[in-house]
Order: sequence, then structure tokens, then C-alpha cells
Amino acid sequence: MTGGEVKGTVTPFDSVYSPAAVREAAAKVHDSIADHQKDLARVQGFFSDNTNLINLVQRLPDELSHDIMVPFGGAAFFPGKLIHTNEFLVLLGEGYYADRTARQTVEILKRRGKSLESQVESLKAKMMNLEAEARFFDSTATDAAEGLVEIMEDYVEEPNKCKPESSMTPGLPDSNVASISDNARTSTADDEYAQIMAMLDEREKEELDHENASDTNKELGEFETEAPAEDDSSSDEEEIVEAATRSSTSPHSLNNKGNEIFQNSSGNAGKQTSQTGFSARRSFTGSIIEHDDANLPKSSSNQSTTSNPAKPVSRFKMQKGNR
Amino acid sequence: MAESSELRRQKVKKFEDFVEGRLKPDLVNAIAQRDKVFEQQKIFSDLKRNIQVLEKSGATSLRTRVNLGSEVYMQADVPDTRRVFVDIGLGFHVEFTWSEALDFISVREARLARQVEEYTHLIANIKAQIKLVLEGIRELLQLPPE
Repeated sequence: MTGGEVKGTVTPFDSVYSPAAVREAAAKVHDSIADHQKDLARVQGFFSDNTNLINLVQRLPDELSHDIMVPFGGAAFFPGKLIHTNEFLVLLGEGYYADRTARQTVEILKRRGKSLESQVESLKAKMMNLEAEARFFDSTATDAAEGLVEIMEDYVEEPNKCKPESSMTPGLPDSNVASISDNARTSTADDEYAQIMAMLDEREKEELDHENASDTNKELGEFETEAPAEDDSSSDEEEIVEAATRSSTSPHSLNNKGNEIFQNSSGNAGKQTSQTGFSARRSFTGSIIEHDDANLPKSSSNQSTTSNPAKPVSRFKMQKGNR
Repeated sequence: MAESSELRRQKVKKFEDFVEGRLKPDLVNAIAQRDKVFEQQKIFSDLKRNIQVLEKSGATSLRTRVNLGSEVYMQADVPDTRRVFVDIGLGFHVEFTWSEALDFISVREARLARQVEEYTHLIANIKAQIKLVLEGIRELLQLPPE
């Protein structure tokens, strides 16, 4: 099971992710979540204003003229009437205006609404990513404080994959003996859990394959050079998130964390085999993987979405700013 | 020696925190309030100017463009400009003739100027306090070398 030629390193979590720094990072992520929340609220406000305006513009041409109070500066009104009720002057941005009829104005406003919606979507996606990061940092902070240890072994490619049901049981408690011996208690519960996990692993494999292939070498380098928890480096965060999303909510989190980091570091390209490969030599690979698979697509798309900029904003924003 | 310098360092830190945490935000707040009053002043002085222009030109009707929201404008016609509804505060608008409106605006402007005065005093006060604390810190820091 734990093959004879394994070589690896054992590093306590505290040295890699010092609790204080992790907590700071968690706080920073929470802050940026709050900022995004505000932006989201603002854009949603714009969107509802836009909808109201569409309704108004549609109703105005029903009458020849409307009696209104015409504002005069910021603090005075004149009683007056709205005339030429089918002619609207619309700001297109950058000081350009257009005279349009009601129907044409409604079309312009609908297009604006669409761009606002896409902004809302991208903001929401960003926020979800940030929340996943925050969850990971929180769990890492607790883990590090509890003295979790990370074990890494070099990955040797297996020619044949073994199905989890047969070979997973022997593998479970052994490898992580060094980490936390108390976690051996979870082995039996882990068995059934691992079985379910194995089936999910198949699905994950497809999603993670192409990502992991590129990430493998990076992760190997990162972890083994044990850079201190500089959470600023984005690649670090990506991997951490990947690791996190696979383990965040599991009750066996302590045990899992070691497993998953191990798993990550020892070659996610080999994840193709590791997740299902419970070969006798691999101590404990991939058996306990994040069962919350809703997170997985996000984790793999994490790297891509984090680079998604917000859509066309400036022009419209400027319009709003003019108000 | 070491203990007293340690104590001194702690005091300095306490003073600095006080400046950053209390005095500077207070200053920022006071400046923000004063700016708001400035804006009000500007609004009313613009209004006064416009009414004076109207009076001079003797126009009784007006054609304007009204913002319906999100910079979508529509033409509006004001048939009789001699009666203006001016915001006197607390959500009330009073119907004035031109001359009455101008009187009211001058009263309002006087009041706003007084408010600006008050805020300016407050700001000067806070700035003085900040200076005092900084001087105290400087004194504390200059003593150790001696």
C-alpha cells in the first residue's frame, strides 16, 4: 500500500499557512466581498430605474400633454405641461444626444437593460468565487491552528487503475498516520464515504483534466518550495481554492485536507488515475474528495472567471454620474 | 531606561491611534457637512440668478427640457412663470412671486452663510486638536535621545 519507494516531505500546516496571515487574508476577502456586494446593489438599482423608465416612456404618448411641476434649478418648481409627448431626447454618451420617438427610446432602454444584466451576472460570478475563497481561508485558519500536517509524496504513474471499491479500504488510514493519528478513527466512516466519492470522482475527472494538466507542475513547485503563505500570489490562490473547494464542508475536513493537498501536489495530471486509482501503492488518493460537486465546476472555472472583466460599463456609468 | 522608552513608545502609539481613529474621521465628517452646505448655497444662488434673468427679460412663458430619468428628456412648456414654488425646507414648497422669491432667497442665503461659519469653526477646532496631539508625540519622541 504505502509503497516502499515513496519519498516525500512532511510539513506542518502552520509553517505553510500561518494562522495569522490566513486570517488576514480571510478578512481581506470578506472586505472585497462586501465591496462587490455594494457594486451589485448599485447596478441592480440602475436596472430597476431603467425598467421604471421604460414603463413611463411607454405611457407618455397616450396623452397630448401632461400637467406637471417643472423643476427650476434644485429648489424650485413651475407648474407646467409636458408637450410633444412622443419626442424624447436621449443621451447616448460622450455628449451625444438623439431625438427619438417613444418606441425607439424604449428599444434603446431595453438594450441598456441587457448590458446591465450582463454586468450583474459577472458581478455575481465574481462574488461566488470570492465566497469560495473566503470559506477556504476560514477552514484553513482553523486547520492550521489545530496543527494539521501536510504530507507530500512523489507521484508515480500507475499503468492500471484500480476501482475504488476493491482497494480503497487498506489505503485509508495509513498514509496520513504522520499527520494526525486521531483521524484514524474516521476510517470506517470514510470507507462508505469514499465509495460515493469515487463515483463522483469520475465526473470531476473530466472537468479537471485539462486544468490540472497545466497546473500540475506549478503546484508541485509551489508546494514543495513551501513558500510562506503569501496569499497575494494569484496562482497560489487558485490552487488553494481548488484544494479548498474539494474539502471545505466535509466533516472529515482535517483528514481530508492532508489528503487533498497531498493529492493536489502529487500531480493532478495523475488525478486522472489518482481519483479512482486506489492502487495498493498509493496510500490514500482521491478517496475523499469534495462531495459538494457544485463547487467543482467553479473551481475549474475559477481561473477563467477571475480574469473576466466587467462588461461595457464606463459609458453608461458616466451617464448615471451625470444625474 | 528600556522600560521607560517602552512606556513612551506605548504612549506615542496611543496618541497616534487617537489621532487616526477619532480626530481625523471627525475632521472628514465636518468637512463633508460643510461641503453640503456649500452645495445648498450654490443651488440658491443659481436660483436667484435665474429669477433675476427672468425678471429682466420679462418672459411670461418658458420652454424647457425635463429630465425623465437616466438622461431622457422631454419638452415642457411653462405658460405662466410669474408664480414659483420654492422649497423652504421640511418638504414644503411655497408659491412665491418673483420679488417674494428673491426676498426669501436672500434670507436663506444669510442662514446658510451662518452655517458655513459654524462648520468652519468646528473644522478649525479639530485641526487645532490634531496639531496639539502631534506636538505631544513629537515632544515624547524628542526626549529619549537626551
